Amino acid sequence: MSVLGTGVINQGRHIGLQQLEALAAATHAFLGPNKAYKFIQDDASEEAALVCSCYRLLEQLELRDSVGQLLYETTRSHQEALHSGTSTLVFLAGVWSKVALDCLHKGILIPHIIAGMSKGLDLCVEACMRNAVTVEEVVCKGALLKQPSGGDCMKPEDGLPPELSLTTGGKESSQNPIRMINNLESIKETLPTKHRIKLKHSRHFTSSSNEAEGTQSAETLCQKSSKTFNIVQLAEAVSHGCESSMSLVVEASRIQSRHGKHKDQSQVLDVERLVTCPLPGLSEEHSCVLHGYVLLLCVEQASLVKRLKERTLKISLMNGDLSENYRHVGFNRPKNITYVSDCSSLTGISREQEWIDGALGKLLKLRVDVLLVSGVVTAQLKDHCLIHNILVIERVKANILKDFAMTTGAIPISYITQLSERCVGSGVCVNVLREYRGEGKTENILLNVIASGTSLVTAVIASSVHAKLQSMVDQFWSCAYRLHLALKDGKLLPGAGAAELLCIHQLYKCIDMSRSTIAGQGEAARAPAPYETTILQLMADSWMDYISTLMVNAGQVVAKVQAWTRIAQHLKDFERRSSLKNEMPETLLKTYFYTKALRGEKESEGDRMVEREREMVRVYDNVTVKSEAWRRALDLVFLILQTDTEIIVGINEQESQHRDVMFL
Amino acid sequence: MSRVCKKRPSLCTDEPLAQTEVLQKLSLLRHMLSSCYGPFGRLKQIHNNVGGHVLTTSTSSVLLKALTFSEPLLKLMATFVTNHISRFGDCGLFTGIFCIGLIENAEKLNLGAAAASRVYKQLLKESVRYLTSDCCGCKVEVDFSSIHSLMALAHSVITSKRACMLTPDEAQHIISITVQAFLQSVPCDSSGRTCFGRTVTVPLQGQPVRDSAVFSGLLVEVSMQQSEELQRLRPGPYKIVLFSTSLSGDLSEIGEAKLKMHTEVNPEGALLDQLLLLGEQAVRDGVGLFACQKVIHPVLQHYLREHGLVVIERLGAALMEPFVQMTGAIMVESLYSPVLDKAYGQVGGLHVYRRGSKELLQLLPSGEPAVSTLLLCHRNETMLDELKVTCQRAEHILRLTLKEPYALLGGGCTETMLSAYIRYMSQSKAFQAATALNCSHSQFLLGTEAFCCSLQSMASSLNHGGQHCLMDLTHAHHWVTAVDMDSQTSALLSCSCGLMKDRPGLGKTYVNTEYRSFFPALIEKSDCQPRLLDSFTAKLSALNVAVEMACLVLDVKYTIKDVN
Repeated sequence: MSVLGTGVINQGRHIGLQQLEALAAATHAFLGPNKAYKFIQDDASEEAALVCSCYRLLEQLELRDSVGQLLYETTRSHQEALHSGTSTLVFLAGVWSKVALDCLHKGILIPHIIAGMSKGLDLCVEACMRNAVTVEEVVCKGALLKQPSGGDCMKPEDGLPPELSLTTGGKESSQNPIRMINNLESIKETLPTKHRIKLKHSRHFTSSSNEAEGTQSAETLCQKSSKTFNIVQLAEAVSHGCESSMSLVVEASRIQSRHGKHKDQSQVLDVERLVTCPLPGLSEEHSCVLHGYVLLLCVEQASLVKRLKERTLKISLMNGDLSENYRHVGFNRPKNITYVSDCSSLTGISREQEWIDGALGKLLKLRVDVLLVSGVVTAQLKDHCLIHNILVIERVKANILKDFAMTTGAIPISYITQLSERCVGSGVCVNVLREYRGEGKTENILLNVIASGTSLVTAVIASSVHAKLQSMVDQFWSCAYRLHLALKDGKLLPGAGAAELLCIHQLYKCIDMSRSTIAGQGEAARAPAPYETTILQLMADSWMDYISTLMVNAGQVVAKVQAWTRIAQHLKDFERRSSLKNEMPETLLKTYFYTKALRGEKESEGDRMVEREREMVRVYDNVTVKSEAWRRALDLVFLILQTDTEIIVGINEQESQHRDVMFL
Repeated sequence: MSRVCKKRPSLCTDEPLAQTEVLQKLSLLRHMLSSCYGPFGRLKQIHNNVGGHVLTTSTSSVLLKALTFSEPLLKLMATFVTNHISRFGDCGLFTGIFCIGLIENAEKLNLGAAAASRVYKQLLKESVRYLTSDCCGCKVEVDFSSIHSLMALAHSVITSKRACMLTPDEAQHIISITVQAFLQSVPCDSSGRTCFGRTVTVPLQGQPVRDSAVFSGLLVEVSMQQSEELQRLRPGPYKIVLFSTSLSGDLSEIGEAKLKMHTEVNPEGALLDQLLLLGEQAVRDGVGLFACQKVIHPVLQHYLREHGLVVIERLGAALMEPFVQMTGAIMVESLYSPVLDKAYGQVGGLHVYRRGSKELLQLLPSGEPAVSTLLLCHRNETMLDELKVTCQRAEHILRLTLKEPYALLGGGCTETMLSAYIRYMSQSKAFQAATALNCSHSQFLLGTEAFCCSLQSMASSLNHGGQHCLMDLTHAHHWVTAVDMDSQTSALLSCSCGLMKDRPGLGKTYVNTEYRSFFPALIEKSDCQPRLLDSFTAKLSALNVAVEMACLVLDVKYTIKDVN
């Protein structure tokens, strides 16, 4: 046996950053609403996977080098927490690696690069936070845009939040959600006493009196939206081109609000009480949202379910496996125990049989009808349960168990011996939704288990292409989390590149300012570090890259060059306006919307234009998702930038394929 | 089929330091350690190349623990350094780099092992004498009446690890809470028997750094399943019982012993009955909080919860002692006898915090807060791990000041000053010293040269790339000038540690160049406070360990390796 050693690779030339840049470049197609699928084929096992998100791509690639591994870890923790924004993260990690590399080539020292880039990101985040829009405003605006007649007085450019003053800083931007609500509240109160209300905080009403008609309709709309807080508009704003998934989410929210604790509240989405049930084989139209816990079950249990129907059932919940040899986590099995037995005890009843009898006896005695288990159940016991009309459901997720525990009063237990009257809950109904022949010959039933008073909602996600199913489930979750986070944050960022455009503007402003101080004060004063402007310029370029890639991916422009021209125009336009009236660029992509019209089918040009106008939906991004993705991307770049040595432990000195590995 | 392998003979290497391979590995290790050193130290990524976790660090304790060495000499050094760190918490990199520097310089100058170690030991004595004497310019007294020197000590530790990824504001926040945690651990009144408090560090991933804070008492993560019950906590105080033995109901206590058992016997059932007896007793005795270092059997947990007890399992070994100290409970180590009355402790109250997705239960002390918890938050795991280690180091060295209330100037000033002093002393007393050490005059001067060079390169390895290291010729402080094309700090304002202001006419020389030896003059009455301070105790020990280790390694004639 040869000794396993420690290899050391010195990364004098910042290979890590180059690797990161190259890796990220492979995922550019995932940015934006029109995600292209990628096939990943394993030559060795001839398996293939279809992916359309950075997270799934990295997961499939099984990168073993340190940079790939770090990138994967970063995206994974981001995905697990927020469920969207990984493509932004990876893209930015890539372009910012390039920024760092360019800085190194220009001879800027690492500490300076870090200081400069941190400052750049801080500026961007600050600017974005100043210009975040409250959720109420988004809803209100969405309602206005929906109105066909609203088009006259509400040109898209007008829909700009007035507080987005860039030069005056946060004077008016202190407007918080509460004030906004008050604001809407005040509309409600004053409305009976008839219009002519001077509203200071909402731009829709400040315009002028000759828009009285439009104003009034706006009022009513806003009033309505403040009362019911129509979640649909909000959902549309953050759907990012996944209308079908988002409509499922909206439906889920509707069901949850109907069955939730606060029945009057309509703006709820509890992701903890959301389940997905992938359904391969059926076409996508069959996707739907249902109240209760829906799952696929093999057909043998169908007859059992029929017998349980129309009856309130008793339920029992189990953590872990239900089998004789299952032990709770943390239990160490004795290794060196041998069992001796007398001849007389060889009567044929094994320990397991005894256990099964006991378990079954207990279940029958307490008249348990449904058994939810987070692990698996011994096959034999399952058969027995089937005979005795006990429905057994395995592999139930922890949050589902928790919800059942809360709604039925059942207490989750680990061992069947713990089962007592007090642990059994009641008030559960089951019904078969449909029978369905899955892939191959297996027949399944779609079963709904529903506890009274639950707000548990299942999204059944169907696709006739099995390989797409995972991406569709992911898409659903990302929509759900986007809406959830929008409600939680209470704020959104203008999307579709507007926030990034703002960043560019902010960076340019800072660059100009530092240049003018240098020019103005000359050599005497201690000017802000010259390298800083270089770094900020490079960062602005990377945002430019981001937006142009987004535009190209969205099919809005054919080449990046076109995109650059358009961005430049918008920046200029913005510059003019911001110097004039301190207004925000709003969506630079005025004609940018996620509609089918773009991929237009058979409509004539004119129809399409009308369609466009009507379907025009403003796009918004989550504040948390964006800022987290940016922060994580920069952290990753900094970690790799500051690394000079890669150490591989446990490799063999002889077998090592690396040429430039040194051994310790 | 068993196979018998012939034993291979041991491998014996003669004069290991004469081999280029060994020297190469030594210099590789030195490069690796010195590139980690200082506030701009570069990071190392450690992984296993098969998709395992990637460890990113520049901390010597983490780094040396993760490495495996093929060369016995390196292994020996790594052990020395790790031992030093576990005792003093700081200066691990210093020890390693300085030691290898001494060895390499002795080899380079062809000094001969015996002479080198004699000279080194003599110079070490001289250094220690200087550093502990009153006329030492690089030592400052820690002034406990102001927070400044404590902050400066914490500052140099916390800003020296880049993998923590702290912005200046965040670093300031972490520094102040570290000092706060330290101050809380110092008992207020000195009447009667007092003992130090403790600080427990609890990492929490995914939250912003500014959420880090100091809590009095203990902070324990609890599972979300309990959150419902914890909403209905009654006000304290709570009677508590603490088990250090596993209550999972397994037979882990017997270890590797072999057991033969009758099939009729059900050890698990019997154990569970025993556990439930404990539970019954706890309920009977009015216990409010049932805690265990390890796993608690779900059946017992179920029973206890039903009776309204708060259950905490998997406390972990690190929390046990502070727990005992805070509550006055006695750890119960067996489950076969009833819990004695005096074993129960008390908790002043319970409080639930929610941070992100985590639920944290705060156990408040009933008396004086002898225990406090430092909750550290960071965005991701890599940075949080490094931050945790760094804060623990900072706390360790702050505590060392209570033993010896001194600190050394940081930023490399101590090193340059010490080397200037040693050079001056040796040149003035070279002849007597050489005769006393039984070596030639030139050998002694060469040894001094090797020693001082190694010390000075410690100062220069604080800077990575693009900077010039200077030393002034009056006080021997360390000065850094940046030479990258567009730096704003081309003019020197103050020395590295911040004690000295630049003034016209102050002669400077590049570090590790020839200069006329001089006695580093004391700075009389400076109105500046040093910005960076290093731990006096840790650095003194680091000097000792490094020199001893270097002498030992230089003395090694053979290495004998068992290759079976």
